[in-house]
Amino acid sequence: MNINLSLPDANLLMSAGEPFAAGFCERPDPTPNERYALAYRRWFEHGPLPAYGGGHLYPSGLRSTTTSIMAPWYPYTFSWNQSLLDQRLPQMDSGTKAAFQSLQLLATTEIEKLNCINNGTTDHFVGGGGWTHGIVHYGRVLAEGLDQYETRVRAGLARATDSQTKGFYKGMLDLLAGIRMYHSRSLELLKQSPASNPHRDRLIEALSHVPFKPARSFYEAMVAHNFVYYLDDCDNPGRLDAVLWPYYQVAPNRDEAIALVSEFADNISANNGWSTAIGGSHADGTPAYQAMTEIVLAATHGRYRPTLELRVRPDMPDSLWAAAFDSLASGNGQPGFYNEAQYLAGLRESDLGLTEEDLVQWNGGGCTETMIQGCSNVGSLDAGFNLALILANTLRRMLPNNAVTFEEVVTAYKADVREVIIQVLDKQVNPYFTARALHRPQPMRTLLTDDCIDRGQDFNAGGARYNWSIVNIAGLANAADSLEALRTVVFTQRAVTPSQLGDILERNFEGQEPLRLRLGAAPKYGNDQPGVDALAADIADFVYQEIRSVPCNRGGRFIPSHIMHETFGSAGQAVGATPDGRRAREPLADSTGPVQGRDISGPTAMLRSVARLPQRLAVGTPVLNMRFQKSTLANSESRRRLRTLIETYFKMGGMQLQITAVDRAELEDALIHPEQHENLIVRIGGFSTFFNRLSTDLKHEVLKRTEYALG
Amino acid sequence: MTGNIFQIQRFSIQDGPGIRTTVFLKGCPLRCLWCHNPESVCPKPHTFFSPKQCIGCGYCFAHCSQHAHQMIDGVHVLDRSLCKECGECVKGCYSGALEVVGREASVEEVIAEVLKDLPFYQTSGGGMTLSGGEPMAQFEFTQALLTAARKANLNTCLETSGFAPFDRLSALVSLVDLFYYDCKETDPARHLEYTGVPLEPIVENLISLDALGAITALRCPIIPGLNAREDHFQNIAALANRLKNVKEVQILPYHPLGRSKLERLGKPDLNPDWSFPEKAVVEKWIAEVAQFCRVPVLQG
Repeated sequence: MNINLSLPDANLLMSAGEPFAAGFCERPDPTPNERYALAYRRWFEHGPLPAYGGGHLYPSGLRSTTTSIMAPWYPYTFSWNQSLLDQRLPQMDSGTKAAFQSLQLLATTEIEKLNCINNGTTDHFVGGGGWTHGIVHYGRVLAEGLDQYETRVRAGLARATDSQTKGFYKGMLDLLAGIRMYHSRSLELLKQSPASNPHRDRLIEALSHVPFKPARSFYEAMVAHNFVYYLDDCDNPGRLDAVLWPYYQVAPNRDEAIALVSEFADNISANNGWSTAIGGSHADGTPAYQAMTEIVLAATHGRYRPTLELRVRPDMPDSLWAAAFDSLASGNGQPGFYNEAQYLAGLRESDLGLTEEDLVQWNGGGCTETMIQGCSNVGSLDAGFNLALILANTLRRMLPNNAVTFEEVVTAYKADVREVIIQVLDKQVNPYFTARALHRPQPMRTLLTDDCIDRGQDFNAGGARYNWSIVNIAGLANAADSLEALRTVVFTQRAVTPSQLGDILERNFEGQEPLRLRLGAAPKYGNDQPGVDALAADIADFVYQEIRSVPCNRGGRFIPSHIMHETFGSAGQAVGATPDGRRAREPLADSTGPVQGRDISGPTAMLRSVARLPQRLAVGTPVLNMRFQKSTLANSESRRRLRTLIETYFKMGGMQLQITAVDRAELEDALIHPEQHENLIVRIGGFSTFFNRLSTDLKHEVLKRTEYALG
Repeated sequence: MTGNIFQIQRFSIQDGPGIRTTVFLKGCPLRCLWCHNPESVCPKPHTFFSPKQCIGCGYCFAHCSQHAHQMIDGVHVLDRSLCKECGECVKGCYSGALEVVGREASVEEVIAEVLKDLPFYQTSGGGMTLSGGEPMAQFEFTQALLTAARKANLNTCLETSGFAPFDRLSALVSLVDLFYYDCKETDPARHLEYTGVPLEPIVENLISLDALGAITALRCPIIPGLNAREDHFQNIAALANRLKNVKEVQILPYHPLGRSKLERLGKPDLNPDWSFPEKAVVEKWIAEVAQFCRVPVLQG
């Protein structure tokens, strides 16, 4: 079909209040780069502006991209709101209706171009879908100003010889022109807001300068950072302490900094925004803890977002441990603790071509997918593997044969895992990257991510300095526990034959409660029992190596992670009964942790079990969640114990630890009276979320997770 | 060498500094009316039965040679007069209804388990605590465990009622960093009545241990209606004040968690109204001891 024949009338789309769509349809035969850049330009020129909330920063509150049929959207370049279109269609005149109907056809065609991500199996729905988080180069915009970006774009255009590259740079100029207009419209909106507002004039003054000129003060840096955050559609704010420190140290004013970062954190929360890594290292190996690190902790106190990732080194000052525990005590599950040495080593060992300068810019984006701020495109959770589901399928095939041995089952399982990994990564994800490179440029990420402009290459076409892909792994503990129960009860104790167990699993343990309990009584991962822990480590090592060995056509490599956020509930839906005693459709284990409620030997034993996994190979982030009673943070002795747990886990090789301080009574009450617990935040999987946003099943799972006391 | 233990609890945080592992030894010469761990009293392993957890699988009925498991009016009953403690029924019970409390374990086995958390002890100043039961009732085993822990440079604590021959207690002074020493009742007649053993040797042992330089913390279970008395509070303080090396006094408010076990042991529940004391009441007890006492008084 020739799309040009049915290209909708851009003017009609524009007058119907859809500037992104209008820009998208404006030119008859553009390259994808030009098409999307123009759509962004028109969006910024004519799209809705968020209201000014009267604070120190603008934009503020909910971003305005959520109220249009077609709008910029960071994961996939654009969002398509079909239900909004369906709602509006009946009120349109016939000409407008026709324009939107052909727009819908055009958008559907665009969406289908990336559908290869869903080819083949979709059972492994544990992340995946090719959603892309990113962290643009805030620090560079603050230091250089966007005017300098335009200079670099024009220099690129002057250098360009082929039409493709020229189109790329013209697209960037379109985008910059749009941003300029968005910026002046913002200033105009501020000028028309009540002059009585105490912060208005200062904000107008700062915004008259940034983000096009370099920031000259801490305040201007904050205004620019916030502005760029909205330009990028409110994803990750990046390493706030490191980016802001040069401006803060010129004239330190702690109260002002806390007020501004707090306001920024409110904006991030309002948009369900993501991650900030703080602390860690400088490129020369010295520690990067400074006043701003503590200020970010204090300023985000009790806030839902950003997700805070504290990069912990053995030389982290005591005052920061105290600030971190104060923050945790505010009940928002922040910060998560990250083992700096292991991350640096894990990234170096992954042969990603990282320089030491760039390496120290690592920051988890999204839930906590390891990326390099300002210069990387890592995808995030481009695919997922459900180890429990694969095992269930292996057992369905192997158990009917009573002559089968345990070793044969394990060998067959690994072969199945390998096949699924190759199938998904090579037949779904790699073609998806190719399609993205060809059909789905990402203009804003391209402008603001190094080295896209210098290379004349789009973000999705390999323009970023570093490219890798993070994929997710679910159900490790279920797989290990299941194999151990099989070994113990079927192959050692011979309580039932393999085929009997196969039938019992098919019937979901019906009438077999004693056997289910017996399987449940076999050793379980998370209790420092060498046999089952070794199984878990062996499976993990196999899966990590297999994933890492598949060539990634985006560049870099595939990097494993265990980030289950809310998906450990739904990931279990697809999985029948498993030999660990889990009934069909029950949730899977959370991330790298033991199966909920199976770790009965205390936190030290649990940490030792998880530390046996070769975690550095899963540098995408091997999440571990722990729950402690709120009293844990109440006195210095129990805080000292918590610090010991974290530090010792890290010494044993653990990479990451997320802690929720809860009162069980409060969670139970929140199940019954959700309206009285609107602010209750729990840390699950990869990030914090409001308890009330979880499904009832998931709420019960959270309650089931073992809770530890520290004194 | 072996001994009888009933639990090894890792990440034990109420029994000494830092992160610790507590080894619970079986057997106790005292018969405290409020006993929190009645399953620890008998020195040998024995079978525990929780009928509520029984799922009716029938394994124990089929495997008990003594027919001690009976179904009476639809209720699963364990007739202890018939039970020979052979443990056959427990082997096939996965519901948790039947379990053997206590097992024989070697010093090496116990220490290997304790040393699993060595990295946690090193950064937290923690180590091993021996509790019970009464560890002094298995003196040689206790001594061997403490010696092994010393060899591994662990911080060591010993919980004891103090009811033991003094030469045995004194033999442990160099092996124990902190004695948690019970002070259950300070009136001799009541002590005999509440615990079944006399008070005097316990106090004498404490004074003599103190003279040898043993560091102690006094642990005082307070039971409303028995020893929550002003004279007892004053006596606790007076006793602590006589000691040169006492670190602190801990008030342990009564908790009813041992009562269901007590019932199953066929002992009468002397005061079914006993419950957790109110927080304010506990604070008042602490204040009453603290006003006369020269060392810190804390809730334990």
